Amino acid sequence: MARGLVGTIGSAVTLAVTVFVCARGVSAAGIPPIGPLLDPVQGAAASVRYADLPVTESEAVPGMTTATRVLFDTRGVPHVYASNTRDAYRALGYAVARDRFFQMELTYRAASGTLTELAGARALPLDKETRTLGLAWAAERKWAALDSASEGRRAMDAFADGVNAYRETMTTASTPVEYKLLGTTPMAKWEARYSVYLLMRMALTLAYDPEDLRRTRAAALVGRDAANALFPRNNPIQEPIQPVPGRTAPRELWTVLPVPGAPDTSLLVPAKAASLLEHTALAMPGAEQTGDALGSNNWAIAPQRTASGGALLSGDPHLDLSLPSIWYEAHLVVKDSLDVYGVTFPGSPTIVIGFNQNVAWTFTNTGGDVADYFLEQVDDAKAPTKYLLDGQWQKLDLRVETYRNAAGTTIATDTVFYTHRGPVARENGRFLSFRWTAHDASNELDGFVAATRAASVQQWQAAMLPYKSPTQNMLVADRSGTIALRSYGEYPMRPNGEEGAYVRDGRTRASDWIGMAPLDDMPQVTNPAQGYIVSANQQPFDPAVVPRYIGGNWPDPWRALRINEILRADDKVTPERVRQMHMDPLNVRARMIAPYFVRAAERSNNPALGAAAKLLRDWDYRYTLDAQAPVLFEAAMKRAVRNAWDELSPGEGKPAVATPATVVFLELLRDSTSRWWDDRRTNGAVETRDGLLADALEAAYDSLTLTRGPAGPPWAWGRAGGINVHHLVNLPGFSRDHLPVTSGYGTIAPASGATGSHGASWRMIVELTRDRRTAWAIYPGGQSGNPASARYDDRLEKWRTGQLDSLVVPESDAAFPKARILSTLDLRP
Amino acid sequence: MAFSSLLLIVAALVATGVVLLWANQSRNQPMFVAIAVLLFIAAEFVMGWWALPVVGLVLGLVGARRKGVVLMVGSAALTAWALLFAWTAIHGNLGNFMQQLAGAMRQKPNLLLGLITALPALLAGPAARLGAGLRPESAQTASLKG
Repeated sequence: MARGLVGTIGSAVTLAVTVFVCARGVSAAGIPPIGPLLDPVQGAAASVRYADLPVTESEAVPGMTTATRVLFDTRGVPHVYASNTRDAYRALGYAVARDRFFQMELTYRAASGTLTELAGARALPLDKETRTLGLAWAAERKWAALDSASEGRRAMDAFADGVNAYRETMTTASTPVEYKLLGTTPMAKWEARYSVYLLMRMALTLAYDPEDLRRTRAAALVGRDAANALFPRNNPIQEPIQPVPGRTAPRELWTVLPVPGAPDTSLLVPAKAASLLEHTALAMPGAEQTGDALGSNNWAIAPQRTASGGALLSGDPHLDLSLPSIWYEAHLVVKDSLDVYGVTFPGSPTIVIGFNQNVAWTFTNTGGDVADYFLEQVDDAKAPTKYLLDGQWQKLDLRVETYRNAAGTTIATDTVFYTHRGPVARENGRFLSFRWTAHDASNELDGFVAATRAASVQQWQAAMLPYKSPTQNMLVADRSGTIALRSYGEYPMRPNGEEGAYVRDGRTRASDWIGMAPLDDMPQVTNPAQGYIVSANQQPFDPAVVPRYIGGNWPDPWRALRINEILRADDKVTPERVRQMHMDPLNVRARMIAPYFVRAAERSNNPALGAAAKLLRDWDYRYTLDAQAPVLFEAAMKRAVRNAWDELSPGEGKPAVATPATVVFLELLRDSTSRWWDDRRTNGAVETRDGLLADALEAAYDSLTLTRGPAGPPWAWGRAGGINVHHLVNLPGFSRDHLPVTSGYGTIAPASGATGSHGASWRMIVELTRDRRTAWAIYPGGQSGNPASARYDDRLEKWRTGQLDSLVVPESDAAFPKARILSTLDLRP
Repeated sequence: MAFSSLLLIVAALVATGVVLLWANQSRNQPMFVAIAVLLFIAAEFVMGWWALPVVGLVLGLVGARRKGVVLMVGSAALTAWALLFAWTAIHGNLGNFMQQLAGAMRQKPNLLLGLITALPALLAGPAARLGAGLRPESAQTASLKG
């Protein structure tokens, strides 16, 4: 009897513990609720049952006016055949939501600072940063300012109809696996305004670069003259986006770097404030972190230089690589009105980069100076209510930010202050307000929607006039053979022609922007005599021709130099040649810098450097998978750069406050006895360039020998870490990491290194001749966000090896090749 | 709640009734296990993983007089999950996905497999033991006499 009772109690306890772990998980140990997760019917495994698209399916979509057919091709791309554009956007919303719902919610929450509602309190620091930057505040302002009858707004409304129609059909079993791992459920409703948040998120990725803060901190250490030279307004090598007629080679503008100066004490306070803000999780990583992989390339070739006699356009945006991809591929057709193919951001209702029957377009980031920080003086550092402006106290606007968990319970509140300039970041009694063009009311979607219907370059450019942020080099080509590029977006003008290179004085209106530069002043070119246009984030203007200031410290010019070099040498360019260019392994950066290492080794008379020098000397500067020299060169560069800029470190062992671009390092290399080569730590001794380079090379060689063994196959670039394509929330099992690629820092296809995840996010070639359009493209990943689906990563290997898919673009569902149809989805009113 | 779910609930209840009636009449152990498996499967569609403790408890109550009821119920739950995973595997590469899932959970695939195997037994077995223990002695005796 007693034994039975003990057994019963023991069972009850075992059961209670197991049920608790199953239902609640163990958050302290990072164990999610494993009951719903492992359940074979409705848990994670159910993803397998939703991995394939049904052969046929029919669903009702509220708001849909006529029956709309969506044919998914064998690559998983939805081809929407609708009778009006709004139904097309509804169908797109349905298709994207079915493939990418979790990504849509995640991106929206990241932009709105509501990640805690998905991931709990661990996301609180990120949400606070997002809201302090005013992302949600700006998105709300943009949404409120939208004309409800505008094309962009109507597209967002229709898109939301489609998303919500899919959301209604979602069951526990079909819920994306990420929700089950997080122990939460999908948002109940997608609101049209969320699309605006996604655009703010892109602005953050592409146009938020606290360059002013870095320069301010550098100047506080080495003086303004040195800081201005290290982060220069003009690139020392010029192959600008807006070509200079008659020039057939890069322009070189080398200068001698001024010696490190005395700290600029007037900048100590703003530098201290800047140091608190700069290293945030949201800040765009500097080139030293991304290997210049967060940029983009595009180029277009005019008919006179192509083999086909038509225009060729190449799109190659570089972004954070993720699974699923940042892009979703789609084709929207409305008879006699719309026929557009390309990629969109999941959550955006229209095609962003792509082509229609007559025009193809793509973007690169222009960058430039579109934001300023202002050091504000407030009345009370602990509980401020006012800020000083021209001697008068002005009221600070307050916005109480509330952070909730998935259950809707408030887990934290915060107050964000606003001056007339924008949101204020505060740390330790210092207040920096932030003025940013991305905060201003705008309606980019109107432009995108109208542009999809353009019949010529001129119409396309006119359609994009409402576009304001982030600034983009928009490259367009059409069937008539016109190629053109214009930088769209707003550039602020500062008083007295000032440049916004440093933290500004917030106590006076004289520091404020005085307006926006007219579009005609922006970089632009149409049908240049050279027969091609290249943009790769390089300085857009040749300052010797157009001295106008729109920004400084431009990204390294290596990719631009190489693309120009190839195109100059080829007047019969084919799509195949463009495809090869996407994966071109030659690195101009290495070609210009590696010889300095070789010469330093030769002059050093150090026999230990013989093998290292030989490896670099025999190298063709190509980052092929079996090449060994790139591994040595990159390791040596890392050491040399760190040692050369040691003056930018605020103290022994502390990382530099900023690292100048590699092209500035090359500028320094031209001056063998510059004071910058001297190592501050070696009292009495004065180091020179060759000594520092030889030391760096020797240390790199020794280190590699130690970690990889003697030089040989283990040093192959293909084993050096490659490129990472992380899952959206960095779940290792759903990521595909360390993919060997023929690219590196500064090649046309950049790679951000063993720990990075930036690179070519979408490769597209469109050939437009008088009688046809032909297109090829690929992105790393696949259309489905479901890791159980073959379409989750089915393009990855092709992308890694530089292959492209031939795109199928039937103008009607009747014309669709049967063999290319994977699934048919009929959406009805 | 969807109509199909309501139908499933009704079906599960009917099945439960059948088992209850049968359990009082029959001493056919394999049949008891087979019906228990079916019951677990049906209930899984209605209440997900909660089916394991709930059905386990009910079967424990009903089968309290049976020797080895805990083992039988645990085995039935395990078999039910195995069949459901097999059904899922028909639709795609379950093994590959579970490996990815284990990686996403930062666990070894074998640990995940072990967890999936242990969970039905850990939930249904103790629930059945608890159910059997909760049943009044007189009822158990009466059942045995009957």
